[in-house]
Amino acid sequence: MMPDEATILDQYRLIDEPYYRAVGREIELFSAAYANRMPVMLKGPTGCGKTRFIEHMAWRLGKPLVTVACHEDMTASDLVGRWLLDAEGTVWRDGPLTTAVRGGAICYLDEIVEARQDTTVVIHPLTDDRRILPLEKRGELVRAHPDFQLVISYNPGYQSAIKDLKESTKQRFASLDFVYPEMPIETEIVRREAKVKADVAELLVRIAEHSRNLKGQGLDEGASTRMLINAGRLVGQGIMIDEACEVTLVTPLTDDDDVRRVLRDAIAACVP
Amino acid sequence: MLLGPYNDLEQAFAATHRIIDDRGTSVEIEAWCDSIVGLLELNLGTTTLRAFLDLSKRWPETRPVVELIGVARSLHQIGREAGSAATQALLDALPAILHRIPRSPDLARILGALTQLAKQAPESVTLATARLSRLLESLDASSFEIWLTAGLRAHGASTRKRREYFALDDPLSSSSTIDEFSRLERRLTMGMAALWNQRPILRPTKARRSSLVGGVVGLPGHFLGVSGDASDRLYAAAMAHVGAHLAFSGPPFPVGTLKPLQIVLVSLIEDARVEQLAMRQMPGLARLWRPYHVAQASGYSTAADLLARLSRALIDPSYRDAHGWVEKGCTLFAAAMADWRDPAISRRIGGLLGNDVGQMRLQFNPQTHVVEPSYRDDNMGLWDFGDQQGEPAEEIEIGAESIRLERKEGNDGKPNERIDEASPRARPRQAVEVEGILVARYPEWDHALGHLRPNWVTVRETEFDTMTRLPEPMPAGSDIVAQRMMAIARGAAIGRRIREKRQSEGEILDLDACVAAVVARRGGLPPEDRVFQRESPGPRDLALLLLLDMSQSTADKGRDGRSLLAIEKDAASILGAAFEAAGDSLAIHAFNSDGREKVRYVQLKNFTDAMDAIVGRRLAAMTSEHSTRLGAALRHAGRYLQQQRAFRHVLVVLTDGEPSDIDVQDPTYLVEDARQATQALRRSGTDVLAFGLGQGSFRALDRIVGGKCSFRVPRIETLPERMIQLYARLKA
Repeated sequence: MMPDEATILDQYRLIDEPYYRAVGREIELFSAAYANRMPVMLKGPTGCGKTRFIEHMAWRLGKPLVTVACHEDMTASDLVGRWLLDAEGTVWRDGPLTTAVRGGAICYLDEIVEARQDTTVVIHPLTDDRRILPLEKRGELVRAHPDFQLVISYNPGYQSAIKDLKESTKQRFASLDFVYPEMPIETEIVRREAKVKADVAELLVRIAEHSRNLKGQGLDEGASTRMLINAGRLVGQGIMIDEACEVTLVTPLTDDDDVRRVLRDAIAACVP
Repeated sequence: MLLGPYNDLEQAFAATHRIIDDRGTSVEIEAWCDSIVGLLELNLGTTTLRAFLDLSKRWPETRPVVELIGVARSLHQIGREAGSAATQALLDALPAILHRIPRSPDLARILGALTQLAKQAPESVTLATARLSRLLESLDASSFEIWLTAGLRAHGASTRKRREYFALDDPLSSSSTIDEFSRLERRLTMGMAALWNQRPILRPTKARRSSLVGGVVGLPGHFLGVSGDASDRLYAAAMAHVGAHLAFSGPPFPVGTLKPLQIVLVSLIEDARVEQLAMRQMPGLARLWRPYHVAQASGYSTAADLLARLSRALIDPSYRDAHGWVEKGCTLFAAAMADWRDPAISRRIGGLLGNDVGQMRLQFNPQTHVVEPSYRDDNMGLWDFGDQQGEPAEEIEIGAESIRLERKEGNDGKPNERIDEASPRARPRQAVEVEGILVARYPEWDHALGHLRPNWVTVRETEFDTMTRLPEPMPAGSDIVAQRMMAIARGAAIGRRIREKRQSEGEILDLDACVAAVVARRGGLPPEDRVFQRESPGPRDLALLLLLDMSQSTADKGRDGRSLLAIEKDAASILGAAFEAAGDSLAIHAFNSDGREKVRYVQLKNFTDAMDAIVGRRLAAMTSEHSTRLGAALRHAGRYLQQQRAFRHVLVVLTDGEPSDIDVQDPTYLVEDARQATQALRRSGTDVLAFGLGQGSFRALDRIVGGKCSFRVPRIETLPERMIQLYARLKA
């Protein structure tokens, strides 16, 4: 027997408060959108806190959060469910989206553009007044639970220039723009998350700003807040700051020797 | 003495001997005398000997006499191999270049290299020697040696080519001169962006110091006497310094009535000011800059020395200098710390210090002054010379760097032209073999008659001499475009979709597999669990032909001053690399036309060639000539393409505009013919797309291939978007 939705979804509840430092009015805006169950799109570069934000909001709203990391081989079946074969014949297994729709969770589709085009179309009927999910293959029409909300994330970085959301998809969502926080806020985040001193955190943020200047000119993205936290954690373990940056920023960001040298020079220029 | 028959020569010898006599040891003087005897015995004629005596007489006092003996020995060897014209050329050249070779070992290396040249290529010594002065502007002794041996190695067998090389008429010879700038340009541009978030235009210059005028950063092609890591560091330091000016220097100071030394001092304080502000933000810059400040407190109190000491005192807190003037400078500068953000303090402090220097009666020669340390820029950009451009510019012209003055005058907010750009027009153009081999005749569509004229156009194929030209460097940023293009090309799925059955994962159940599985289970056999099916993109199977237009109109310059042909070449090599990276089979062909009997067609790369340096050279050898008879070229290219086995055939035309030819008056005639050719190709399954390069309106192109298949590429940066559109088009 399959366990019912409520039991399944209990696994997806967040127990402890995920740390999130608001940058602007995103918490209020998201709460207002949720009150109307309005679909929301989180836009922003990688590692700037989109996923952390939605976890925080799910915790704040007391709703389970079903996260699906989309990838290029992901199809509609992976989201809504599929028929499987067992001893008695075929059985239907709900996909994560269907589970969230039935049980009233927040469904977060991370990096939706990565998924195949047909995937994005299945979410259309869920994102307008109908709030339904047709399971074509099963011949079932699932009406969304009143608590259900759909959230997607979308990185407009130019790597995905070939993949873009269809206009018909984009226009269904309210969109919150995420950028790397301003220096004092980002410093505070790095300090807290990496448990380092304020001066180390500030130095890391300065380095990150220099790397972000290279966006589109050698780098697809500058160093993210997540990278800085990683660097800070290594510093916390007694690693020298330039070495920590080498491991967590320079090497992951690029394989281009010139760009690496430029990043190293920028780090050297910042370190007193 | 042997000079007996030449009375006047003997007198000249005696006179020179008297001068030289007290400047060297007796052994040296003896050797000098011997060398003269050697030269005499060589029978080069009296002119050489006289010139050598003259050179000895005027040999700078700062240089040892031993060097003269080395010169004489080299003259002896060169004279023996290459005759008196060569020795004469060297004697003529030496006085002008001595100041560029301050060290004896370097002079010896240069002379040694020339001797080597005399042995291996005697005909070229005069040519190379006559260009020594020009060469040594950008080469130091070791790189001169490298340049020389490169020429011998490349053209050892051909006297004609050697002559071209050493006369600097061969592009290879200018490209093998040291060019640190090109090697580092990309890194420096990114470094400037990373540190200062500034994206100034960088230009190579022949000056000894960097410059910053009107937002254009001039950098020496190389810094004298440094190479390898040291060169990397010096360029990085120079760029960081220029960045500090960009970030913190205000509008130019009016020169007013300031004297050259005052200008230098105000500039020095301004340098220190912007560096201090930069180090507040990026303390690590101190480690980059300080090593170049090596002035010692015990040095002589010449103006140049005191300037260097003051520079050091202002940036290096551990440096102590008891000289009153230096101390005063430090005190004034430190006292102004609260106002460091205000450029006016540089003017004020510099002015005060200038007054003191005036009272100290220091020797200062603006002609020979060069800003020190070497990473600092020439500071010309700090000054506004107002209306009196000619005069003060002359007054403070510093060393050989007259280049900056030209730049200043030419500067009106527009980026300056590359000053050292070797003008391709200056070189004789390669004779083009237009004839070529007749390979095909094609029909042509006459839209007025609605009739296809059979065998109307003749296509002739030719080849390029690939040794004539080296590829020009691509504009900055194009490597990023190239990388992006490769990612796009790799990511594009344009093969057939394939349905894969009997998979362990998939979107839907594979019914046949399900039935088989149930049958197996009922029969007591272990059931097969691969019961799904899925669709996936099939393997890419694409043959692509890039057809380049090399008609005369591609010589037109775009807004950035680059010709359309240059953009076309860049686009072709970027597209070529991208398609190659994606594993598509690719050919690059080019065409122009000179009437219907001469449609010239060149295969730069056929489907089996790799996208390598040879292709690069062929691309570089393309020149803009004649007209654009597109239809015939399309038909010919289509024929090559269709011989290629592939699921899809794609013909991409890169052109600057409309078809035209000398024997056609009706503007629509060739457009309609090309349209007809396109349609015929499409009917036979070949996709035809076009990139319109430059700023044209491309109405004809829309007509030929259809608006949805013609893409505008005004600048190379827009290529990636067009490429995405191209793939989208291919998918549709």
